[in-house]
Amino acid sequence: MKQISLPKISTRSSLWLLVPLVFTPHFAHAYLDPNTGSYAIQIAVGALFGAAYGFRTFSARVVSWFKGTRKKKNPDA
Amino acid sequence: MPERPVLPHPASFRDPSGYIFTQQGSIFRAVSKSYQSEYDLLMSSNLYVHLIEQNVLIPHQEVSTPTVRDAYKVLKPEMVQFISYPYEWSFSQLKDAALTTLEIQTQALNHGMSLKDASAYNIQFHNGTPTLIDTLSFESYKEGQPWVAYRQFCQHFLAPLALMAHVDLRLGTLSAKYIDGVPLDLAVSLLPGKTKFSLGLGTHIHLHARSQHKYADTSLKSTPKGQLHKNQLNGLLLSLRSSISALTLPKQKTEWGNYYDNTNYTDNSRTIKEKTVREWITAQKPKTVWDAGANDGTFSRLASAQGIFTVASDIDPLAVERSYQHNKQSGERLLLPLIIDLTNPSPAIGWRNTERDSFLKRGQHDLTLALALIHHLAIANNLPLEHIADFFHSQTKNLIIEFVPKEDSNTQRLLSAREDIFPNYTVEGFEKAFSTHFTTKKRLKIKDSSRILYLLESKP
Repeated sequence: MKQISLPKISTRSSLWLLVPLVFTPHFAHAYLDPNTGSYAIQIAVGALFGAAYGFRTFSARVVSWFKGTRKKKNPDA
Repeated sequence: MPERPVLPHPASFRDPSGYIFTQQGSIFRAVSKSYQSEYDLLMSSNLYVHLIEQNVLIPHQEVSTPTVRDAYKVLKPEMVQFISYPYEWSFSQLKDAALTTLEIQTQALNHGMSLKDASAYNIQFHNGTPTLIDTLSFESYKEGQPWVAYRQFCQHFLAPLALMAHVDLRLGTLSAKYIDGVPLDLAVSLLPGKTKFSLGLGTHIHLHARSQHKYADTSLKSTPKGQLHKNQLNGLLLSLRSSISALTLPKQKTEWGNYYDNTNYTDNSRTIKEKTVREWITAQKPKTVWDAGANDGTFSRLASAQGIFTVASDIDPLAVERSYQHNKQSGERLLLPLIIDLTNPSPAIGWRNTERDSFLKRGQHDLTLALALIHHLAIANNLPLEHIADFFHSQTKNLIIEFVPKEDSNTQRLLSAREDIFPNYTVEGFEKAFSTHFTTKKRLKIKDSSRILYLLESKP
């Protein structure tokens, strides 16, 4: 298996999003247009995952900036 | 070469971007003129080179022949040794295929493109690792557009993996029933309630299924409005990757998972068996080998270690999982472990039953190994010896088979709870049944054991 470049995500604070699932009944119907629903859910949760991604990216940049600074200070290290 | 029409492969009809066809034993992919700009972008954006360097996309050459009408290009991709399907993969094989698909989509986005398909059938194990074989799966990325293949990814990868991890490992075979992946509402009805509280599974399966249900209502006038920006799409991919990575193999004990810890062989007789099988394989010089009851692939590796591509199939998903894990640790490239029930091998499925070939149609092997297998077929499954001989004759040129007589304790165990209705299950009965289809080239009674090894050659 090749190395995957994506970092891990953990957004526990956003579990409230799933609360409605617990209190609503199951269903079992054939669907006619599953893709429309698949588009809709992406748009609905996009802000959440986008924020998590932005935070990750920002954190990684901060970490690499500090590492880069330290390298400059100690070029022989 | 004069122009002549070519026939697309029966499974190659869904995507107007191009089609697969075979000619003179080689496989080609025709690129439609309508796909010209997308194909050019794949090549000019450096995405193709990048994915080839990562070994996640099948390499191809552009060829001028054979001539195909109305095609922008004709590609000749590298041949995959053996086509396998997701319902034949172990848990980790499907998981690695899923992670590879996400990695490809991430790289595609970085190069201004996106996967328009996330079908598990587009991934094949090539040189031991999951590889995308559909070069025409890419389209230019349009800012704001949701991932068109999101539903397919969840149905083909996430749902079956979640079911295998949270319900039962054997539910991986559910994909054979649903060619476009496990319906999410079905996954919801099978998954335990606790999965609703998982951010990944709760969103990508439970909420996703609910959203599908909502928009399936034909009386609903509204359509989803809004856009999914690139960062949001990257976040979605990140979440999918985390969800897949978090799924682990359930702690299940299967029948044959620890088979080699409990065999009837002494160290000496086992060594003799290994040495004999290795020598017989070497002498046959096969190009391909099929180990028909491979367990964790211990004996299959006697072939792959000689540079021979080997399909190592077994009925037990945990044994196949162990085989795949061994492959990953050792960097094995020539051994393909697959979950196959010999008494009910994968059927042909899809449109007109021609989209996905049956397991038996996909393989004609130079040499087949059937070691410590025949008593399971004949005694546990009531298969007459003549039928077993006829079956192997239809699949292989040569056969190394081990006869496990009734006095063997493993056969005794199979007979312990049932009436012995197998008067012909004897050495003589075995040799008579197989002599109809095979010529015996070698025969060896294994020392310190009641078992006999045969090297058989198929009669014309």
